[in-house]
Amino acid sequence: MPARTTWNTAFDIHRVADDGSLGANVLLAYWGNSTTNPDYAALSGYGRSELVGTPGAHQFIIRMPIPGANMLGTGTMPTPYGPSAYSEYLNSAPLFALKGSVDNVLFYWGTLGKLPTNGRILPEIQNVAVVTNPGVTSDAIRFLEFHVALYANPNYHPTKLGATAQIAIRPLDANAVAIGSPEVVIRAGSYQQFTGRAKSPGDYVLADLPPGLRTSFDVYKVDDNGSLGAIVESGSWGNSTLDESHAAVAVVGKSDLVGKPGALEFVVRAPVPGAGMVGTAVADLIQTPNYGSTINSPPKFAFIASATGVEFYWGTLDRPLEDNAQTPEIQSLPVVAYPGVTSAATSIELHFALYAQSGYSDSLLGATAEIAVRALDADGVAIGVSEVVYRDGSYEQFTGDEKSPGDLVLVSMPRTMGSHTASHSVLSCHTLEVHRRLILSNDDDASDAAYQHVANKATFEISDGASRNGHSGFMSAYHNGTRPQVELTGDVTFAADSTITLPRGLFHENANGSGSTGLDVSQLLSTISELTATVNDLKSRAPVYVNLRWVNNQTGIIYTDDKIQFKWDGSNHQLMFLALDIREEEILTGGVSVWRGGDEKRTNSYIISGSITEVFAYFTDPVTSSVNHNPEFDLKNWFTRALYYITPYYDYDDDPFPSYEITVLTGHSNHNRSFSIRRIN
Amino acid sequence: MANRWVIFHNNEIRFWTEDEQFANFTDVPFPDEECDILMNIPNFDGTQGVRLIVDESGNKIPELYDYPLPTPEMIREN
Repeated sequence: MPARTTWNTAFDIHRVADDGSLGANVLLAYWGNSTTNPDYAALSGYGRSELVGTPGAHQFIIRMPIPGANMLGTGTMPTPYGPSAYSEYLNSAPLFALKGSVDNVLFYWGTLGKLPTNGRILPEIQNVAVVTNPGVTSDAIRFLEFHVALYANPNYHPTKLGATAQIAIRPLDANAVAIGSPEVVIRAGSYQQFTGRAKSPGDYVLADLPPGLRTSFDVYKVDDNGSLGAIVESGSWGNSTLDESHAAVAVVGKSDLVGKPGALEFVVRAPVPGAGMVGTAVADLIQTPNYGSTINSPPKFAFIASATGVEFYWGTLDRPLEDNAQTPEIQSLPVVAYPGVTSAATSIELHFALYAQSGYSDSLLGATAEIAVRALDADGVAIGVSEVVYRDGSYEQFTGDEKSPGDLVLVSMPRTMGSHTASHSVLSCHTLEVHRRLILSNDDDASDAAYQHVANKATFEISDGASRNGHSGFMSAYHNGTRPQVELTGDVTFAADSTITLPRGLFHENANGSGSTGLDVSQLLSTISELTATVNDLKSRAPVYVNLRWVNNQTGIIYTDDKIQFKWDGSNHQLMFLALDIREEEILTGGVSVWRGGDEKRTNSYIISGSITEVFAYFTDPVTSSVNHNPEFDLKNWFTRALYYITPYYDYDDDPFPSYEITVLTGHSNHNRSFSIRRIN
Repeated sequence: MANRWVIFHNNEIRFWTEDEQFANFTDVPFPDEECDILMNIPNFDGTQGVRLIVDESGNKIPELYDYPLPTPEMIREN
């Protein structure tokens, strides 16, 4: 029998009866299975789901075998997104595909009811991540059960029956015993997308979603190349408590409106009431500040519609707005009708990208959200996109998951952030860009100088930490009508190793208006340079004295400079020298005169040639092939004075060797010698 | 602390140094056989005298002593 390469899994769709049991069979439907590995075709027929489905819903369950160890699906769809993958792997009937890793299995299904052209970017392919639960290893999972309950989605499409699916995926082991804890998620699409059978509006009357549902969505990290990266976690939004039929749904895929590399991003889509934009889900909860009883800790959305636009609300109310806590726990964003765009919008998408917001709270992870809203018509065609706006808050406020600082590492916002300001504004700017700017300005460009002096002024204030009123102006920047001005109040301290770039000069305007007096920096530098040259010249010519005392019978180096070393010969009590840097053709002359009692003994001569180096020599005799010691000049007696000198014979102008004169004084012969060394350059 | 070598001639200190390049007999105008060199003699700080005492076994033991203060007579004799 030839192997089949394409399988369709048939399954029955049942209506859930009023008592919650499995009711009548509504339809026989099919799911297309993976074309790459029919061994993992789906199975069906498991009765009433205990995970999803309330009375009036359409429900079914199918079960998929998965490859087991490491959860590497042989039915992996290699490119789950992108037009090139659709035609090869998916057609009008739903197909499933798995994409596994050591951490999770991504479960894909979808149809290709419409080509992704003409701006129609409905997420026909959807997915859910099945994350390994604590204590459940990936090796243990052999099946995934797909529980689906279908409810009404009245605004999906004019000619296609829309459905909002309540989905739970449950891992099973090899004995088909459930392991792990499934999470219920919500996805919106066409009825065909979930069942493989095309239906038009009116073919079925679907029940509304039951109250209390929350919308689950996946929070992704944006990769370095800007594409959608790994799932970081799943978040959830509480939906409007007043009209559950307008529950938000998660939108799968990379946002094309927000999200730079390193950001965490997600997209949710909320239906709006359609014609007239008169919101049937209008909530009285948005009449701030009286929203206390209607919004609680998980984020909820609500909207209020009018003839000119929709205002979209979300937020949490973890903490009462007391104690000067000015954090806007409830936030809003107006979606204004755009030129040429009528009230035809039937849904809006909120695109969130989350970045670091340091200092939000000691116990709550802060986030700055980059948000854009796109309005869609009944065909899912974008009919307007809002500008990108920014909101600060807790991470929980945007995702419903409370986090502490350190639970997640958020990158700083990689862009310059602007903000419309009122009379006062607090700005926080995080950026990865090389060029960082913080611009404070008013929009009123009145030309009157006096007005600009006041209006175009920004002040940095420093708090003393004592109270909210304990601020003091530190730096003010303003425009005086002619040029920008900066005023500093208080002390200015420069950090170690900091530098300052000097202005052209330091000037003081004369009181009588007769110009200014002051210091021109370039002239100052020129003067300093001339003085430095003079000082260096004087320094080079001035004799240098070194005075020291030395134990009489200690042998050692008593003096070293760049040209010479002097050694005291503690054995014979004579001074010796070693030329360190001398031209080979130079000759050093020198000698010694010793006063001892009433006698004076002298000698001098040329004493060494520059061709002879690396030898300590006495001042008394020429050094040729050996060093001669003349004991007549040993300074072993009491109260003597000796005067040594050494000076170059040729004294080359381009490389002179210094002259030295050394006086040695002796009191008691067994005690110290006093040396005075004078260098003459 | 730096090493300190003491060079002896006929068991009496000739000179001392803390510079190893001079810790030899080059500057001593006597036969090497008459000289000795010891390193790091305990309590010798360079200001005292030191001599070598030969014990019964022939070992040379350093002995420190203070230089005598000069007397007027000694000065006049100079």
